[in-house]
Parts: sequence; structure tokens; C-alpha cells
Amino acid sequence: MRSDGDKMKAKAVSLCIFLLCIPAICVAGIVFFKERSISFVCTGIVLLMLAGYFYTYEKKRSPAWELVIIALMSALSVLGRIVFAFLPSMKPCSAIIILTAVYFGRETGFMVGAFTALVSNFYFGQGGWTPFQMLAWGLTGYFAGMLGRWLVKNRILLLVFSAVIGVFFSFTLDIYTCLWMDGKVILSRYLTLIASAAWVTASYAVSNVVFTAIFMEPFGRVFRRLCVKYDIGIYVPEQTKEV
Amino acid sequence: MEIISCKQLTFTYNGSSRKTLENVDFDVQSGDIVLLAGLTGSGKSTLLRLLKKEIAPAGTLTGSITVCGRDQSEITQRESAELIAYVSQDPDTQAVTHKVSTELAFGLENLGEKPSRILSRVGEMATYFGIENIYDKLIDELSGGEKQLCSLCAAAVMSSKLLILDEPAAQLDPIGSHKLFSALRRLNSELGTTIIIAEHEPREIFEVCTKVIFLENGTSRCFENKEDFCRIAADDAAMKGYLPTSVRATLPLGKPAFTVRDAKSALQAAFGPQPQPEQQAAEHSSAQAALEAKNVYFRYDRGGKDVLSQLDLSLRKGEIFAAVGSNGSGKTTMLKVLSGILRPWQGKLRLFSKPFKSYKGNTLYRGNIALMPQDPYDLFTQQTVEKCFEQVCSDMGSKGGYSELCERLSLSHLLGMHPYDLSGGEIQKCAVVKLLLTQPQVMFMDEPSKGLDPGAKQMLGELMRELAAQGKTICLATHDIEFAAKFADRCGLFFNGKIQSLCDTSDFFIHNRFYTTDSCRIARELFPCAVTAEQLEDSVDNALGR
Amino acid sequence: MCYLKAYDPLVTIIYFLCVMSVSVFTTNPILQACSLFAGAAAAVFLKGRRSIKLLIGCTAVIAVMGATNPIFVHRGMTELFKLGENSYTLESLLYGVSLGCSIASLILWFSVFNSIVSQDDILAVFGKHLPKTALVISMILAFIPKLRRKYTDLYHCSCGCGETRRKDLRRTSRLFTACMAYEAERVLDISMAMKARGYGLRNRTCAASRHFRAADLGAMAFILALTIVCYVYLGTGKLDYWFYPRLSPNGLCPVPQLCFFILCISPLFFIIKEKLIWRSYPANN
Repeated sequence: MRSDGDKMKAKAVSLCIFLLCIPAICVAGIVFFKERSISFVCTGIVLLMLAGYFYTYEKKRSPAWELVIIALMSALSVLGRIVFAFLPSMKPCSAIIILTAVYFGRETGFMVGAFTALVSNFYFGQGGWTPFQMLAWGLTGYFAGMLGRWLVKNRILLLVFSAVIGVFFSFTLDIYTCLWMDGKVILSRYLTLIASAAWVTASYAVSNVVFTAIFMEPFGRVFRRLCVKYDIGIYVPEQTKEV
Repeated sequence: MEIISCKQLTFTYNGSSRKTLENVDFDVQSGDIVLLAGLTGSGKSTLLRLLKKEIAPAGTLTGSITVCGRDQSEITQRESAELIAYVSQDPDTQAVTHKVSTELAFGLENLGEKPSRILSRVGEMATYFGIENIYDKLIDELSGGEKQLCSLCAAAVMSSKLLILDEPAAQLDPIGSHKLFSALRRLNSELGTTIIIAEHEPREIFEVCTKVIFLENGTSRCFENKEDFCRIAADDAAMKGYLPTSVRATLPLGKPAFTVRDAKSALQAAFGPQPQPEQQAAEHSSAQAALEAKNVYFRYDRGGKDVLSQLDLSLRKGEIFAAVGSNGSGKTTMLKVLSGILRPWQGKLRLFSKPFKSYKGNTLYRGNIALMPQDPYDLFTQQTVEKCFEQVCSDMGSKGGYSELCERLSLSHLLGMHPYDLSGGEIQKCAVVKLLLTQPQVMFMDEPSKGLDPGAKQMLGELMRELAAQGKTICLATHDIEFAAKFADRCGLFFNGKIQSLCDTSDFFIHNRFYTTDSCRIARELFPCAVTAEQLEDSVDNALGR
Repeated sequence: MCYLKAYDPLVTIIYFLCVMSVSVFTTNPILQACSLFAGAAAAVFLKGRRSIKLLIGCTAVIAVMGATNPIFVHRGMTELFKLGENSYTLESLLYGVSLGCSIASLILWFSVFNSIVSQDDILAVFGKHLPKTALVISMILAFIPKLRRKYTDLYHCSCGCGETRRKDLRRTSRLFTACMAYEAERVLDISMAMKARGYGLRNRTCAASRHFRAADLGAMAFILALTIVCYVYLGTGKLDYWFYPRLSPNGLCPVPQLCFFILCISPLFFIIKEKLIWRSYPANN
């Protein structure tokens, strides 16, 4: 009974956020900050979306193993940033988030992404980019989890997906940079930015593909083993299809 | 009042045909301290976990478990969390949060207590256990002993009636385990907490325990008092390892003594001054030096403290050398430096009188030096034991060759298994095999006896002896004094960054007052040459026979 | 710093949100100057010599933004010189400087934020309102050093049994996955310990050692009142300022600007007061 009530309440709150708060933020931005309204609106929307997601997650009951897996995988992607530092601009974070999401579903994926950004910034310094990074990585996990059923069966699809999501991640952060620099999207400036960040975008995509390819087998094996040994309720198919 | 009782308990793991537990019967009264003894793999952990519903392993259970007069299935999760606390072997798998303060509050937060009440209960317990000084620290900064004390405190904060401990001191050094056990004794004597404890080295707890349960192949033998257990265990090879030295020394006299003090006075009453046997001078001083370290300094970073300072050490070919010392004194660092994994910032290291630098590439670790880590699982990064062995062989450029070695150590049945599924003793043996595949001349071993049952320790020690007899040099760092006394040729105390008082094992333990074996403490005046429990037993038997 | 920490972390965080939101999204030069000045002063007082690098960085950002903006934007009436076919205008230059100022003030305020609000403060705020999230963050912070140590151990071990010492992708990822495999099992043991200690019961609480006191409420009211004044004036357009096509003539509006100035320098008051207290602390004499 209680749990139903909680769920209803959480749903109501998230609906409230999407239907009331976000338009309110848009209006407020246009009223208060005329020149820079777009950056205000964007930041507001990002913060609200994160708040809404975290609130619904908070109200959901989740088993202990789910929490520790989220914590472990987030910690692991922070560690990955340190361990693979010797390879210039190759970071395994996205790959780890994608693989976790594929096996454990979109909610876990989102949380792992968001926590990775938040906690790694404890070490590398918080900044205005934190919420954007949280959302971008969170969505990486969310999409991967949504498509998980197909991705887990097909290697090629998974690799393509991780390349695409790397480009998506980079472009999102570019838009954010652009917003901060101009207060609005000036196409010429945005294109210059994209062009100048092409190397970064490419490295995101490449490192995603490389690390997904490397970690795919071993992570799947470990998750399958956990599934058997600790009896945690996830669906892990026996063997990914060999292509 | 009866706290917990098991009737005709039989348990089979899912997917297994063997009964892990069979017809286990016992009951525990309020205020008891129950010692659960038994070899690794006898089902101790399974039994302990079955007692708490939430962490019970998956499998089929027949028979009944009654908690406080009610069937276990009737107990709600809340009651269970309040009634029964569980502390396991590994301090690292206990702590949930990153700080001591939040860790202590975790259980009460789950129960939904009011924050003000939680803080007062936590404060009270932290003071009671004397851990206020670590209250604000990160768990990661604590020593193993402090971690275990913290998890015990976190369990005690819930004011549970029953405390279940699964080898809580297996990873701790003597000082850490002493602190842990004195906290346990206080909990029992001052708060009346009932304790069920599984332990391989019951030295500390044997004196106060009221009941002993011995598990063997899944069946239990319950001894209502420990005198019964002593009498029966004296004639049983498997159980004998669980008796503390003081009992083993005084059993032939008729009445077992449970403390060093009692054993000492009993022996002194029974025997007069003994004739001192001539000590034989050590002979192996002429042996060739295998590894020499001169004036070695090491620190982790530039501004840090020297972990090793002015370390001088010379290992002889074919000897077993043991560096004893407490946890956190830098023994592991010393082994890593001596084996060349970490580089000292000053000092010289020579292997067979050639400096380390002259071993180019990986030749130092191929055919010369091998290091067994504190956690032998670290050596196994593949899915099966066999694959790990194959990898070493391919690195070494040799083909196979491990099957013969496995045959000899009777490991062949483990080859196909996942390394993490092996028990402590098995993985230790596999690790030795993996190291032997690199054909080392000098082997470094970090806490090899940690967490092993008496049988496995004996076997490992004999294996080390055999290797030493083949001319291999073994250097081990350990806090297990009894193990060092039994198997090492020479011992040294590692303290303050260097090896102090390096001498032959028997001299070392005879001359130490505190850092020595129980046998030495008991029989220092009577039988000065008895360093290990076996030697003391023999001496007592001889003296009685005379 | 300790003095500021006496307030509930929520108050501190809201303060930073208020200051940053106004100073970053407005184009009013006086508001921007207030924020920049106060941010720089707080950084200097808190960090001492270490703040020099930061200040140089901020100046560079302002200069670069000012110089490059006219290259992309050619609006504005006052032409300074021709750049190819396009004109390099004063208005565009000043707009760039204004953008630079908002970025610089953001950088400064975040550095002040990082030195005042610690990990524990963030956790305390989360813990009160989102206990599960706080628990997960706490677990992540516990796992990171553990994983790091395990990785180092694995690396040393693999060196010690005959492998190369070279760091390459294949070896590092093998060790990395081994580290993951090992910790995954231990971590599930932790989840068991959590269950044993009653995780999953209803109504989990969070024991925070801080309480929201009257002083916190007062500070919060003070902050919000000043911020609301600023927002009201922003909404009515009195603080509007524009650069194109010509610099706007108005932009001066003393009431909200004074309010914002007070808001910005209020931490300085505490920082300086604390320095004075410690200078004449009775225990020193």
C-alpha cells in the first residue's frame, strides 16, 4: 500500500517538474535575463531533470545489490580515468556506463552515469559543467539501457551504438560550451567549436568503441557469474552472438 | 533462556548433491560464548549464515532453527536486524560507507531510529569500545584491526542479543586480535551478549568460551564444556590443532590449564628444575648468500616518511627466513623492495652477488625471484586456474610442465575451477605452483599462513621445507609467530624500517619476552628449548616418562 | 573558513547558487563588476598565494574573450578597424569582455565554493533530503581507494611473476577487468552485510550531526531577501543592459546593485572577522 502511495507521489512530482517547473523556468529566463536567457533556461532544465530523476529514484525501493553495483561501477569508471591516464584522451568511463546499462537496465545506467560525473568532479574539481556532464553521461546510460535488449545480443550494434553515443556526448558538451561563451547558440561559433573539438569528438568515439570491445566479454562473464553465485535477479543471456 | 537452537539441521547447496550440513543439533543459552571449530570446508560459514535468515545461502534446508523460542520463519526482518548481528572474516566486506561515523550509524538508520537517538547511541558505543579517536576518520585509513573493531562496534550499536562472528581475527595481527577479543569479552561479561564464534586460533577465546561445537564433514559434535573437548581432542589429530598451547602442555598432567599463567604454575608445580640440554651450535653459516641488501632506504613519495631505513639483510641459499612484525609496520613494502618491484631510493640490492640492475628485462622474475602477495587471489587474473598456469608457461617460453607439479601437490582437480571459488588453503597451494612455474631461486611470501586452518598451515609449511631442501631460498613476512617458530630457520623482528635481532629461530624466540610463542612463555624456565607446542609436549612427555 | 562552516551546508550551497545565478546570467556591467571583485577578494583571502595563478587565468579569459568576440560577431556601430571584409567593433569587444567577466566570476566563485564546501557538506545536504543518493555516494567514495589499492597490488603481482613492466592497453585492461571481477564479488558480500544490518526496512532515516538552527534560518532569509530584490529589478527590466547596436545609456540602478554588492561581500565579512579573532585569540597569549 505504502509503496504504491510513494510511487504515485514520485510520479506526481516528476510530472509536476516536467509540466510546470520547466515551462516556468523558460518564462523566468526570458523575463529576468533577456540577453542570456538561453543559458539560464538550459541550466535550469538540466538541474530540474536531474532533480526529478534523483527524486523518483529515491522513492523507488531498490535491493542492496543494485546499490552496490551502481557504486562499484561508478567507482570503477572514476578509477578508469586514473588508470588509463597514460593513454592520451582515452577514457573508459562511457564504455563502462554503457556496458553496465546494457546488463542492468536503464535506471542503473543513468545513475552510474550521473554518479560518475558527480564523484569524479570531487577529485577533479566541481564546476558549471558538473550538471551537464551528469546529464550527458546519465543519458548515455539511459539510452544504452533502453536499447539493451538488442545491444546485448549483437556485438556490431553495440560498437556502433557506443561510437554514436560518444559523438552525441561530445556535441552535447559543445553546445554547453557554446552557451556559456555566448549566452546563445551562434551557428558560426558553434561550427568553429565543433571543428576545433573534432579531435576530441573523434577520440571519444574511438575510445568508446575500443573500450567497449575490450570490456564486453569480461564484463559479461563477470555479471553472469555474479548472477549465478549471488542469485541477483538480472537477465544476462548465456553468450553474446559471435559475429 | 534459550537464544537459538538447531534441530536435525541438514542443508544442501543449490546445484550440489552433497549435503554440506547433516543432522546438526545444538542449542545456545543466553550469555554463552560458543566456539565453533572445524576445518575449512566443514560447513562452518554455511552454518553461521543459516542462523541469520537474511544472509542464508541459497539451498534446501530441512530441520528447524528456533530463535528465542520462535521458528526462524516467523521472525520479521526488523526483529532479525535487532536480535542477531553478524561480523564476517574480511574487514573490507563489512563496511558499507566511507567514514567511521556514518558506518556506525548505518544499522540504526535502517531501523528508522530518530537522528538524535542514533547519535547518542553511537557516541555511547564508540566511547565504550574506545574508538573515539578514529570516529572522524575514513574507513580506508584504518588498520585491519581497527576496521574489524569498527564493524564489531557497528554491530553492537544495534544492541543485539546474539553476535555471530565468522573468523573475525583471521586477517589480524596478534595486537589487533587481542583488542578485538577483549572487546568481545567485555560485551559478553558486561552486557550479557551471547556470542557464537568460528575461529581457527582459539587461543584468545578458549579461556572464556562455555561451549565447543566441532564440525567435521557437515556433522556436528557438541561439547557442553571445554574440559570434555580437551580430553577428546587430545587423541584426535583433526581436533588437536584447535587446542591452545597451554592446554596441550598441561593435558598430560591431568588437568588442562587455559591460560599461560595457569599452565606455567601447573608445570612448575609438577616438575622441579630440569637439566639444561646442551645447545647445538648452528652449522649452516657457511652457506652461500642468495640475496643481499645493504643500507636500503625506501619511501613512497618524496615528502613522505622512510618506510625502510638502513635495512641490511643477507639471505642464505636454501634457508627459510621469517620477518615477524605487526601489521602496518612495512613488512609488505620490505618484500616488494627486496624483490625489486619497488625501487629503493638509496642502497644496494644484489642477487647471487650481481646487482639487480644487471638482470635485464624481466630476467629478474624469470628463473630468479618470485613474490607471493598477501592476497594469493591477486595472482589469478584469468577465468580458470589452468589458464593462469598456461599464461605463465607461455611467458616463460616453456610448454605445459605444470601438470606434473599439480599431480604432486594433488591439485589436478582444481585446474578447471574459477580461482575465486577455491578455499584459502587451495588458492595458497595454487599460488605456490604458479610461482614455481617461473622456477625461482628466491621466493618471497607475504603472510602465507593468513586465514588457513591448522591442517593447511602444516601442509604449506612442509611444502616450504621441501622447497628449501631443494636449495630454494624462502623469505616470508608474517605476524603468525607460531608458524614462524615452527618452520623458519632464522627469524628477525621487523621494526622501525629495519630487521632487528636477526638470529636462529629458537634463539630468537627464547630471547624475546613478549614477541614470542606461548610455549616459550609457559616453559621459559623449565624447558628453554621448547619453542613450538609440539616441542613443549614432547618435553613434558619426556619429563613425565623419566 | 571554519566560521562559514558553522552554517548549515544547505545555506552555503544556496548562497553560492544565488550569487552565481545572478552574476553569470546578467549583462549588467556593475553587477558583474561586484561579483568579480568580491569573488577575487574571497579567493585571495581564502587561498593566499595559491590564488595568483587563478587570478592570472581569469584575466587571460577576459582578455581572450574580449579580443576574439569581434572576430565572430560584427554587430555594433563604432568600428575600430577593418578585419578583412568585416568590421572589428568596440561594442562587440566590450560584449566579449562582459562574457569573459561572467565566465571569470564563475571560475572564481567555483574555486571559493570548492574551498568552503567539502565533500562531507555535499553529502550532508544529500543525506538529509535524498538519503539513498547520499548512501550511494558514500559507498563510491569508499570503493575508489579500495579499487585503486587492488589495482596497484594486481599490477605489482603481475610484474612479480614474469610479465613485462610495460604499460600497454591490453595488459592494463586485463588487470582492470581482473580488478573489477575481484571487487564485484566482494562488493556483493558487502550487500549481504547491508541486508544483515537491516537495509531495506521502511523509513530509513539519516543521522546528521547538524541541525538547522535559528542562525541558519536568519542567514538564509538574508540571502534570499537580497537575491529576491535583485531578481525583482531584473524582471522589471531596470537592470537591462545592451551592447548592440550601441552601448545602452542606462544600467545604473543603485538599490539592487547595492543589495547584490552586500550579498557578494558578505562572506568576506566572516573571513576577515575570523582572521582577526585568531590574531587576538586568548589561548595564544
